Amino acid sequence: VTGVEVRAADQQWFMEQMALMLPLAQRLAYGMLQNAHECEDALQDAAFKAWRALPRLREGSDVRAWFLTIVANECRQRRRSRWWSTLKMDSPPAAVSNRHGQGLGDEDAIELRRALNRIPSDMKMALVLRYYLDFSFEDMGRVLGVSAAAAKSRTHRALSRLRVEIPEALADA
Amino acid sequence: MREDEFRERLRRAIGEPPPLVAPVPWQARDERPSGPAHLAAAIAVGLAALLVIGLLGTRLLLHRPAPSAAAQPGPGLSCSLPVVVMERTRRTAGFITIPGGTFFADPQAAVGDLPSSTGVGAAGPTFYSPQLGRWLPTGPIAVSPDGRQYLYTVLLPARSSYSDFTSAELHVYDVPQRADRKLFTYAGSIDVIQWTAGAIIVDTVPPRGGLRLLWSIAATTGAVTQADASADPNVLRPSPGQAQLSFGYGVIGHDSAGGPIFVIGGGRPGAPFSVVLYRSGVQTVVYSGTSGDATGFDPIAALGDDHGVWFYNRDATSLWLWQPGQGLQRFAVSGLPLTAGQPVGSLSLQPAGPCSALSIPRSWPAGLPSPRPSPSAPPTPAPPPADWSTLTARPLALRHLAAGAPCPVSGRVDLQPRVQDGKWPVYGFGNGPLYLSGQLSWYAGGQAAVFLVDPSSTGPMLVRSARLDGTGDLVMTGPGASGSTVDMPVTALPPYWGTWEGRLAAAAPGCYGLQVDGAGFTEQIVLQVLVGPAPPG
Repeated sequence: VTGVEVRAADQQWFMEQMALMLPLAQRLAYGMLQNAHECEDALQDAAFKAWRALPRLREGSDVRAWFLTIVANECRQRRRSRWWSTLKMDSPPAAVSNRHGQGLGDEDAIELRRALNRIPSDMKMALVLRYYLDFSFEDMGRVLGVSAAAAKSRTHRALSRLRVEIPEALADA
Repeated sequence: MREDEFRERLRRAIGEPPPLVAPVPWQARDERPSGPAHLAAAIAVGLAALLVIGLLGTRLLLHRPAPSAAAQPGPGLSCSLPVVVMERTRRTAGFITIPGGTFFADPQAAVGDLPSSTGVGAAGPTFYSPQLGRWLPTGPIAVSPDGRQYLYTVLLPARSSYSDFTSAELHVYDVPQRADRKLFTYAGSIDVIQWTAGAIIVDTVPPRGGLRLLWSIAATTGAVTQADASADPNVLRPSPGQAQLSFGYGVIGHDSAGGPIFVIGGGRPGAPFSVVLYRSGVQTVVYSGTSGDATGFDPIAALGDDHGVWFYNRDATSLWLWQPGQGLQRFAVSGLPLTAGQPVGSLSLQPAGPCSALSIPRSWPAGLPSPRPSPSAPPTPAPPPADWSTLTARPLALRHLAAGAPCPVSGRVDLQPRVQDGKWPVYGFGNGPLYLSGQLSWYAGGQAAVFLVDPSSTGPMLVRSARLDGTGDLVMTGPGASGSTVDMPVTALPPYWGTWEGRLAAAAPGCYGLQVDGAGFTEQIVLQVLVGPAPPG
C-alpha cells in the first residue's frame, strides 16, 4: 500500500468513520474474544486491513457492515488460531438476576462464557450480534453475508447448541 | 427463559469491554498515549506510513516564512497535468491544462492490458507516463525514473487478499517490451516506498503483523539487500533539541528527486501547519500557515516534476505549483466531472504524473496542448488480431462413438494456475493448453464451467462442442460464447493463466467433446454428462 493509492481525503473520511464505528466494533470483538488485549489486537489488525481495503470499498456500500465483517473475520481467525484453552478473565462478571429474582453467581457466568467458547465461531458470532449487540436479523445478515432468514436460523441453531453445552443452566431457555 | 432474559444473561456473562478512545491521529498531541488511549494509538500506528505520530519540535512550525502564494501563473508555462479525479471509489483519469486549469477526461485511459497489484489500487489508470504516452495501473512512486517500467505486487496464493495471503511477489513490468520480471518474494506484504535512480526501496510486514523490514533492490540486477531505518525517506527525524512536542505529520508526495514532502500539523480548521520538503538532509519550508485560512492553500497530495512541485488542494478547486525562489502559484481548476448539485468539495485530485505535452496522437478536445509523438518512445506492440478464419476452417475432428462404446473421458490433472485476480480451481480436464474445469462431474441441465489456459498460449482459441454418442451439443454461455462455440481472442497474459467463466449445458446425458483450436494445436476434451440436475452444493 502506498500513500498515493489511498487519497488523503479518503483517509480523513476513513478516520471519521472509524471513530464512529470503533465502539461497536470493539464490543463485537470483545464479545467474540472475551479478552481486552486480544480484542485490541484484533481491532488494530481489522482497522489496518480495512484501511488497506479502502480503495476496494464500493460506492454506496454499507460501511458499518463492511467494517464489522472485517472485525468478525479477524475474530474468527483469532479463535481458530488459539492454542490455549484457559479462560482468561479480564474482570469478574457482574452478578445477575434471573427471572425469579435469584442471583446468577459468578459460576453461572463463567459457565456460560465457557460454553460460548466451546461452540463454533459462526454460532458464537450469531449470539454476540443478536444478544450482545442487539442487532436485527437484517443487520446480522449484512455482517455475516447471509440473508436475514439465514441469520435467524443460525441464531436458533446456536441457541440449541448452547443448550447442549449447558443444559442445566439453559433448561428453560 | 425469554429472549430478553437470555440477552441480559449473556451480557453479564461476557461483561463490558473497557472504555475506548477513538483514534484522532490527525490532531496534534501534547502527550504520549496511555491507558485507554493505547488502542487509539495502536490503530494510528497500524494505519502505517501515512499517519505516523512523531515527535517534532516547535521550532519548525514557529519558523514560518511569510505566505508566498501568488495567483498569477509563471510565464511560458504550458503543459497538461495528468490527474485522477476521485469521488469515494469513482475515478476519472484525465488532464488539467496549465495554465488554463481546465480538466479533460481522457476517454482512452485504460490499463486492462497491463498487470497490476492485487487488490489495492489495482482498479484503473493512476499514472500517465509521458515517455510511453499511456496510462499505467500504479502510483507515481512505483514507476521507474525513465517512466517505462513499473512495480506491482502479487499476493499468494492466487485470489488471496490481505486477510488470508501468505506471501507476496514484487514484479517489475517493462511496458515497451511487455516483459514481466519477478524481483522479490517475501513471506509477507511488500509495499513500495520509493524508486529512484539509485534503488528501489520496499518494506515488508509478515501477514499477521510483526516486524517491518526495509529492503533495497537494484532494479537492473535484482540484487536485494536489507536496509536499515535510514533508508526510509518518509520518516521525520527531528534533532534531540526539536523533540519537545508531538505533532501529527504525513508524507503527501515527493519532489522530482524523490525528496519527501511532509505536511506537519493541520488537519482541522484553524490548526497551524507547515509543508516541508526534505532533500539530501536539507529541509525547505514551502509554506507555513493555518488550515482553512484565506490563502486557500490546503494540500493533500504533491508530485514533483521538472517544473517544480505540484500541490493538489483538499477540495479540488485549486492546483498550486511551487518553484524554488518563486513561491507558490495558484491555478483554479474547472471542468471537473460533477453531477447536478454536486459540490466540488466532494471531489479530490490525485497526482498522476508530470506535467508535459502529450506524447500520443489521438483525437483530443480543443484547448489541450497539441499532442506530439515522443521520438524516443517506441510504440507499445498491440496484440495481433485474431485470425478466426484459420481456426474456423479447421474441421471438427470429434469422432462419434460406436453404439455401446465407453465414453473416453479426459483425465483430470492437477494445476497450479497463476491468475491475477480471483480464486480458481487447481484441477482441470484435458491435455492443455486449455483445461476444462469448474466441476468434477457434469450433469444435464447446465453447470458453471471454467476454462483455464496455460500462459504458454496467448493467442486466440476457438472452442467447439459436439455430442459423441448421439445428436446434439453442449450449449456454452459466457464471454465470446455463441451456441456451441466460444471465441477467445486473448487467452493468457504471461506469466498469468488465462481464464474463462461461463456455463455448459447439455440437454441430455451422454458423452460430449470439446475441440479447442489455437495457433499450432488442436486439443480435444471429452466429458461424460450424467443424468441431471446437478446435486446442490
